[in-house]
Amino acid sequence: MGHCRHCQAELGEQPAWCAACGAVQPLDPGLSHFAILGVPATYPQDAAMVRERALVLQRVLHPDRFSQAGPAEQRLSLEWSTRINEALAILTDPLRCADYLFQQRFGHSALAEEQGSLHNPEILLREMERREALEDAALLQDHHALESMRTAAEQEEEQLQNRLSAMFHQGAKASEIAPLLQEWQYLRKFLAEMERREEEWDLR
Amino acid sequence: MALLQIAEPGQSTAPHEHRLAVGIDLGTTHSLVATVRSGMPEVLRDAAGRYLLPSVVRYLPSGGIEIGEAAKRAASQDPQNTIASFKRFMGRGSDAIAQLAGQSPYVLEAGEGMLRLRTVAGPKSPVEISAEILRRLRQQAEEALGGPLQGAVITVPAYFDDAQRQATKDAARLAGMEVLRLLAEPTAAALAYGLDKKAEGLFAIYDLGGGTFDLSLLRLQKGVFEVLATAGDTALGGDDMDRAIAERILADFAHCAGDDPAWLRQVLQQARLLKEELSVVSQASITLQLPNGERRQWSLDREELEQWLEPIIRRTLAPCRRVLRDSGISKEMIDGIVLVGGATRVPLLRRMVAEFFGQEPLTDLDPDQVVALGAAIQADMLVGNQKDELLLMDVLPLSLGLETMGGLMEKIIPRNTPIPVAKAQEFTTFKDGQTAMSIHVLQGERDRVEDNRSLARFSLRGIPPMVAGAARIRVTFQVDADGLLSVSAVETSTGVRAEVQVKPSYGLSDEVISQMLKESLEHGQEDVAHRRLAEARVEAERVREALDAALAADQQLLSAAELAAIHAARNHLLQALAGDSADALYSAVEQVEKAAAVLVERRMNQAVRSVMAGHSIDEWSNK
Repeated sequence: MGHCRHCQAELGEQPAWCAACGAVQPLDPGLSHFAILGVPATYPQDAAMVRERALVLQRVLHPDRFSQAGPAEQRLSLEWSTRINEALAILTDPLRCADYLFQQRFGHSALAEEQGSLHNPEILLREMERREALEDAALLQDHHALESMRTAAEQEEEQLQNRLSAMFHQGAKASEIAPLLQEWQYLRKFLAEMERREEEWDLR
Repeated sequence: MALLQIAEPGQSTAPHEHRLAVGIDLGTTHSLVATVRSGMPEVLRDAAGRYLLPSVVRYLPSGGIEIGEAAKRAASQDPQNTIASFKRFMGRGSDAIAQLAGQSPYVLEAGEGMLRLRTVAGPKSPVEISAEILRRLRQQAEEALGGPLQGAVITVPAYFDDAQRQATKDAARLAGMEVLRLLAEPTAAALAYGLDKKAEGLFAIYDLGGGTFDLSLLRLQKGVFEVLATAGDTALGGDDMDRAIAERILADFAHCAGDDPAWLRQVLQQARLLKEELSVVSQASITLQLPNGERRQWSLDREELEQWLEPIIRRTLAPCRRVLRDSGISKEMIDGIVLVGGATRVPLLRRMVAEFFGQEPLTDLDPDQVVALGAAIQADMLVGNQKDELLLMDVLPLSLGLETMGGLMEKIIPRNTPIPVAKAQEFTTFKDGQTAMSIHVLQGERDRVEDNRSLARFSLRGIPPMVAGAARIRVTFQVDADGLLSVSAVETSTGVRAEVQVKPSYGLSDEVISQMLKESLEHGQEDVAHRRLAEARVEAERVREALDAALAADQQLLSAAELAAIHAARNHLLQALAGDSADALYSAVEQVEKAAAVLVERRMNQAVRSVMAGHSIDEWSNK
């Protein structure tokens, strides 16, 4: 824990500004997303609480609060505000949050390209079937089929989250956790594809 | 200023200085300015009591210009030199000319950085034309508020891309205005409603302006307004409704009237009147003067009008669906729908919006004023007149991406990401000893490069020569709270900062802006004098108040002669305040400062003594 760059007072739990004089502090690039928002490094995150923490911090640190301040303060505010938004985006997305925690534990992402793709033939097969069903529904512009596919995919996301939560809790190995994250990634790509299709309908 | 530097122990120097700040709605059909006075936002009126300034600028052969009502009145006689709806051209490049030419009576031509409109006073960029409107609003505000503005919040359609936002900022710069923030119009509207209602919840802002449409979803929670998602169409607006009506009129008179620009203009104006009237009554008629001088009646009923308007209004519903999907919000979760823009008075529109969302929209505030009122509130917060009020968190309206192999766009920051936001991307060299590379930044949602807006091409230079693939160039894209992009790059293995050269695909270069500024100064001596006088007045008032306060507190420190000298200087200042010479004001201020120097010194000594006499330093250091 450091000292305030302005009044030298000792800084408390909250790293962004000095409790004594209110001065914004330089951003330590090593801070984790959890530390930025002041939430425990656990999984899953309570999205509502994460959002609330982010709002509380933005109320103080957003550039709008520094529009009459000097350039140095404005710079710090921009950096903090940007970082808070980044932490918010990652911690409120259950997949990205899980991969972030994975990175914190094992030093690398499970989703980076170098990690290779999924090797489980069963899941690959299911993905292919799902894609075909989507093609068919898109061709027929079948909104009901699409809706039920979406519901099924969302239920799967929930199951993945529960399984990941248990694994993180038990201290599972990287080789056990990574395949789940990769499977989830596939599911996300499928959902994105579904949205792209729907948007095409809208444009017609 | 010496008098103000006297700090009473435990008091701050400038206790409750109210800074003058305004919100400006720079609209397609009209513009307006608002401010917060005594805690309440209100629109500012001109000398004639009007607050809607038509966004119309007319260039005269003499080199002069007409702005607003005067220009609008001349529109049908002098259509080519009377520029209206120029917001549609903001930030648009020469490549958009073909697409835009058919929609307007103006002669468009290519120009550096963006298209130009040909007028009798030469080619004019949309930035220069907008600056005329902003300059007029600034004068109007400074006259109403009695002093120079500290700054302004200017609203832009949520869907404005980087080039259009930058163009708006440049226009303000040309008009000599400090831009505190560019604010999305729907966000401004929500702010006006939010403060009014002190509500928490989810709001959908349906904003159909003259030339643009946006739908935004905002959440007000814990004093923070978050934009959850926004979508829209930059080429869809109330003007399209007028045009739909005008097309019918033109078709009916095609046999006896050609495409004379004055006739077209007259028809467009009358079409707008019909639309407005049919929002209130169910049948209306207009009188048209044909190019051959003949006068003819033309009437329309609401039912028929609605058939023509229906497809236009229907087009607004696609972005509505997109916003709901992007945010994962269902219609039932929405607590209120706010309507913005004069075109939302159309009854069919209200019905269709109510039907789509399953609830009646809110209409308490004037849809013409609501954006400017919200902008004024934001401006007031930004200059620090209000503390700890609401905070606005905006989002990136359109995805940012880079050109990759095969002419495709790879998204690096998706739309609706809260701003400010930064994203770093790593690149490498593909040739041995390569020291430069080029990056093409795009904005939009489509896959192919040519379907998106080209924002800029960056060339990175000064990369240390290494074998192919060894260099790691980390490029950071930072979007600030105005939604404007900046780029920096660093080679991570050596820590060498690569030099980033920006070549914006659109927009005016700094040189062009400086040139325009110079020209506008030459043409605007009157403008400068006006500003200088306003500033001198404020300065003089400030000195007078400080002097009076000092005299009231410590007159006894002066001899009779000293006091008389100060009073003489003060009288002189009061005379100057009654006149309108900036020079006289400044010289009177100087005299007061000279005469009062002795008072300042004695008060200082007294303050120091009183500290010695037992006050702690803390009490009088001013925080």
